Amino acid sequence: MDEINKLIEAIQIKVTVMADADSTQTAFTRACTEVDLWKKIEGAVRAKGSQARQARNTLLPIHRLPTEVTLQLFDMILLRVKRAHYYDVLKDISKVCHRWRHIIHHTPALWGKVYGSTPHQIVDQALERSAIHPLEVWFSSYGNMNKIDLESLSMKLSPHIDRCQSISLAYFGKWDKGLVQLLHRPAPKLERLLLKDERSLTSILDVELFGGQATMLKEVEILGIPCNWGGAAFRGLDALTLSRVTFPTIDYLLGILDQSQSLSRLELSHIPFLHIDTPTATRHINLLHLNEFSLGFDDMRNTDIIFGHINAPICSHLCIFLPDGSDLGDRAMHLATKWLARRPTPLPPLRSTTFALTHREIALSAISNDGKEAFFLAYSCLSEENMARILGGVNRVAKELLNATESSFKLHDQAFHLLVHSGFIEELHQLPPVTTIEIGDPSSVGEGLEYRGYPRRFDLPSFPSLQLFRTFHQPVERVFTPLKGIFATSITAVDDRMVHVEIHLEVGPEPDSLDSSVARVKEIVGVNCTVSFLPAPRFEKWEK
Amino acid sequence: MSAAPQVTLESSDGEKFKVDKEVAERSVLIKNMIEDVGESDNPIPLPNVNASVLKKVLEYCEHHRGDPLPAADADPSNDDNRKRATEISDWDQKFIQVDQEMLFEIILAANYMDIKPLLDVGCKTVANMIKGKTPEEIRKLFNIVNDFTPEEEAQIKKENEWAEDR
Repeated sequence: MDEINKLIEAIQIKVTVMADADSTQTAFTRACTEVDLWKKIEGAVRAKGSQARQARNTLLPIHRLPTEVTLQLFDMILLRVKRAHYYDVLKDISKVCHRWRHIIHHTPALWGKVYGSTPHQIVDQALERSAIHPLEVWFSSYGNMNKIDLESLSMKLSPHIDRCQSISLAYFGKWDKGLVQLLHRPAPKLERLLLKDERSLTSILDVELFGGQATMLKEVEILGIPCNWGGAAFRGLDALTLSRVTFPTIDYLLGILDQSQSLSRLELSHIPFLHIDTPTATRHINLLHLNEFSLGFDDMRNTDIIFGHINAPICSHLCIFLPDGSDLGDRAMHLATKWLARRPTPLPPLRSTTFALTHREIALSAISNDGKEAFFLAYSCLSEENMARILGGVNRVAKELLNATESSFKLHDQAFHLLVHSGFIEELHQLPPVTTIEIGDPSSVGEGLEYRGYPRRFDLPSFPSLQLFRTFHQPVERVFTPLKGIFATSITAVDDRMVHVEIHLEVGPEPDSLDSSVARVKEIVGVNCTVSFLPAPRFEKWEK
Repeated sequence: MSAAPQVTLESSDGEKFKVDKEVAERSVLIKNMIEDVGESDNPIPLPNVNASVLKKVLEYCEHHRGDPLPAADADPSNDDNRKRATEISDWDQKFIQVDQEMLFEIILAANYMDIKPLLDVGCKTVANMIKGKTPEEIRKLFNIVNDFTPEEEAQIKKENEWAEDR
């Protein structure tokens, strides 16, 4: 009996404990339910708050803009953003408000960019959010060797190659299998292709690019990468740039050019040939749509042969690299004479002649009386010593072939260092009388940067007008250093003539500092000068 | 010499503006309306543009009356180049120095009246105001409040986590 009582007692204890546990469990469950409820309420309150704030934002002037205008706004912000920062800026804009985030996330066109520097998480998002929008692929291993996982990027891109519109691969090192396979797949929407290996380490890319199926491809740039030149990718192009790739013969290269008779831009530079041949004199490649024609061979003989075998319109821009030699002035004159001799009619009367100097290039252009460009010829070289010789030759072209009686002179900041060479200055002073001087991009010789070897005095020809271009985001103070250099010489004194200084800036002086900026210019140039501050024009116009 | 042909435009608040047809036709909307309806003495109604904004828009059109018009069938790449050109002329810069309310009204009017160059000037001005600013600074600039949903907040936080890891 005792045993039974003990058992009953034990059972009762267990039941009591279980009952207590049940009650605790129930309380716990109830509390959890309440927490869930409160969370839901809190979530609902926050969502309502968000909705209320969204409603408030819709009343703002900026949110009254329709989506297409808001997108145009985003386009204008993003157009000038460097590739490395594109998605940082896009993400920053998307963090401003619900509406902008929604627009950005649902606009495929904003996500159609896949850059090598883009984090892989963003590449995944970009490929998904760009939907069927054409892709722009840009990848460079320069300075990114440790960050780029090319194999992974190739795999991600592989299913999307059919919507690539532009592919740019600047790479050195061994091209991995995935990348080569990527270039082997059909790319029916591809319009632009750039393959670049500055160190020429890439072995022959002996595949038929895009399986011969890239019918939209119009612009090709290949640097340092030997390709299967017989492929369809090299037919029917509008623009072709080839550099540092070897061809068997000149005739072989001419054969490739003959497949793209609608070329509007052709640039050939530093191309060695395995066998020196002279194509038959009757073989002429007609490139009658050519606007830009650039030859940069290390051997002048090759330049002469190719120049002689390509029929290009006389209105096209001709740019020729002159290898080292003591007779560069004569060569410059000789080529210009041959170029002008191709004209069926003499040059029309010229309104103006312009010399433009950049780092290693001198361009001579002329505008006819009807305002059209009648002549453009540029020479480039490797050493600064040769720039004086070339300027001498170009000077002769202007005076003897174009009969120029006056000239404009444009000096890029990259050419400032030439102003310390007496031979160069001597030639500079032989230019046809200079009416206008344009000094480009003085930002890089801002105050405190004189150590870069730029002259403190700019020994320029006498001129009645001066324009300073492009200083971008630097403060206006950056203009004063080159200005002081220019007006440090007696020849530029303004005592007896009017000098107009026109300063082009992307970010102009603040309205309240405009007067003091003008006063500062007059202090340097002379009180009789006139001064204008204007928004920066597109400097690239004369960079070529 | 006969006077230049004129048209009358009527703003949303009923004010009438008599302007040279050449000036009014800077607006593709008005140009098309004139072409569709033909010469008429009736005012052309612009129900989306009030008088103060229309006056400002017409000041722009008057100043640019001789400029070449953007081609209707313009190549998209030209459109891109147009947007890419960041420079705003001196006159345009001064013209667009207005308060934010008016700036956005001008952009809306340019969009409605289809005056692309004016739309570009407006958008470029706003884009220049935004460039280089943090999301918080942009909000402050335009008086925008943070209106993200809780889900978006969580997502943004998650995105920032990897961004900080970079």
